[in-house]
Amino acid sequence: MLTENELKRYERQIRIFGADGQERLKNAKVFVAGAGGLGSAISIYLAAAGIGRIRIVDHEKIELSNLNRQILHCDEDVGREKAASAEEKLKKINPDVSLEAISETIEENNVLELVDDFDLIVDAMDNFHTRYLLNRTAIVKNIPFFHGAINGLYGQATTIIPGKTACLRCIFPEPPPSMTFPVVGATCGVIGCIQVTEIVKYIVKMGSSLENRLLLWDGLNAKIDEIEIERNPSCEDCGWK
Amino acid sequence: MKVTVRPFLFIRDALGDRREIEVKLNSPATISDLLTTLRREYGLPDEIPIGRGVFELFHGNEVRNMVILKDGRNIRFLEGMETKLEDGAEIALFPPVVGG
Repeated sequence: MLTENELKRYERQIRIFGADGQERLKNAKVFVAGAGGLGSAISIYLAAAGIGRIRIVDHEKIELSNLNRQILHCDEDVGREKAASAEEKLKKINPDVSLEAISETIEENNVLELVDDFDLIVDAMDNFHTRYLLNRTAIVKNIPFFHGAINGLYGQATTIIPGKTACLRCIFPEPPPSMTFPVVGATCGVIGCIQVTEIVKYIVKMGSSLENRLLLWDGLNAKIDEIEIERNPSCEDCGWK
Repeated sequence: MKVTVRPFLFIRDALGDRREIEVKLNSPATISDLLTTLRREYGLPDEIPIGRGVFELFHGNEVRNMVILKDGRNIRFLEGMETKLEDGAEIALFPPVVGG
């Protein structure tokens, strides 16, 4: 049951998906991989929306050059762990959310334990090595994986449902080269907010999602496009599913 | 035969900001033939300047930094550059986006 305070706090979105939808959000457990540019936008909006439990994992410390896009963190946070800074800010945004921020590197030997019994995984990583790991984990645990990535004024997002949609490896069989990517902070906001929209719809069971569609954001020319994608039956990650 | 090329992001800009390009090819044709035609006749460049950097699409004849889908399937799962094209095939070309 929602409390009086919750009914008031979420009034504007309860008008869209009802009190039962809000209860679904309250009961949801969302795993956010990364507290950087995408992770900042994603976790702020997830917390504000009233997701009941959020676990956010990032092993890095805040650098001055992060602050053009990583809006969870402030000038005074430089040198702190991103996880600790994220926990502090998100608790202030919504104290009702059960929030766990973990300062660890997501690796093969801890990913299953970190994701634990969470309902879904949000991709806020900056490299394809960890993205593939999360992609496989989502498939093994049979939970959705909400992919997003950015570069400069460009971004992409898709929603991966194991056994139903193309997975990340179906679209990108090999990791693109890692690079120190340029980025305008607002690009993280655009893509992160698309990911959160996908997550909220998935939880409250509304609308249609980016299943088997890769959304591409061209911020330079202010255009949104989509590419239809198909599963690869022999995909090394999801072919067995 | 005719195939439809759908370029995205700055690859689209490099091809004259066209959402779709119908390309005529002699049968039989492969992805490799299509890329050769796009480079020779449509001006698909080897490198695209992005801001103050450069994004490399081709290194010699080797494709760099470009995802190629034929009818929604990555060509690496088909026959790579030798993937055969049929009349009406849709080819998507887009750069990978990596950061977060």
